[in-house]
Amino acid sequence: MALATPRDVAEKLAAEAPDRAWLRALTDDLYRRLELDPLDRFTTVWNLSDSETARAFGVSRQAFSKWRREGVPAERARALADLDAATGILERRLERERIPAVVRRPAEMLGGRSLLELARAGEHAEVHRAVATMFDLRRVQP
Amino acid sequence: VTPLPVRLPDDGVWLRLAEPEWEDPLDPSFAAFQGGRWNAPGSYPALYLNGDVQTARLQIERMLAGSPVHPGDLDDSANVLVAATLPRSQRCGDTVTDPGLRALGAGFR
Repeated sequence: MALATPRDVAEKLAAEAPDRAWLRALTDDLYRRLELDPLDRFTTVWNLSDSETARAFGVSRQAFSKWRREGVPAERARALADLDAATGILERRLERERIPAVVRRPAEMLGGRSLLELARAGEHAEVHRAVATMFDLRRVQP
Repeated sequence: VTPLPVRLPDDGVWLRLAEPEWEDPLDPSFAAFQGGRWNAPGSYPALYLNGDVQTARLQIERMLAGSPVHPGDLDDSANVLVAATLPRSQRCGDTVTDPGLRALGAGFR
């Protein structure tokens, strides 16, 4: 018997789900089971293609393919750590399906750029700092 | 600075916005260290509260102003509201009326 496609299963579950919260709990649980590594988590949560991810680290797509096979080189570990920390904050604060739009949305506090554009410019630490700042409730209510 | 004293309503409930990770959302010591609109950094402990849900919502909008995040992007569990009551003996200053603000003087941010 052929296994149903993920899309078929998703459509069936969406039709049978009692409410949106139930579907969210399901996707959260499935997501946790995947135990994504930081690079996979970044590309998945930000909804990036391989070429977009390569640009976010300032490397060629060929170099990025090598990362996939052999791991992220040590000299890129800090950049990845910054993007992973930012991704973790975005996941805790935002509805997951909104994150791809948020990271592509230009903003005044980012100098008219988006978080993805900051990453492409090599400003990975700034991505982390900006994300931590934008959700810092203590700024408005100490 | 001598604030004009005001008496709290008997059944008043105030709301404190908090992050789920905060150990004690009603701890006023952070504001003592950092300062805020009504207390200078290093001055005294202060607990910043919202009078109603609408004011708390406005705080969220203020937090996100200029960022790429819209309030509707937030997860329902991103922040929590903690209800607080205050003892009748609590000393409070008027920060609403013009005479109250004049009594507080300049120097507040």
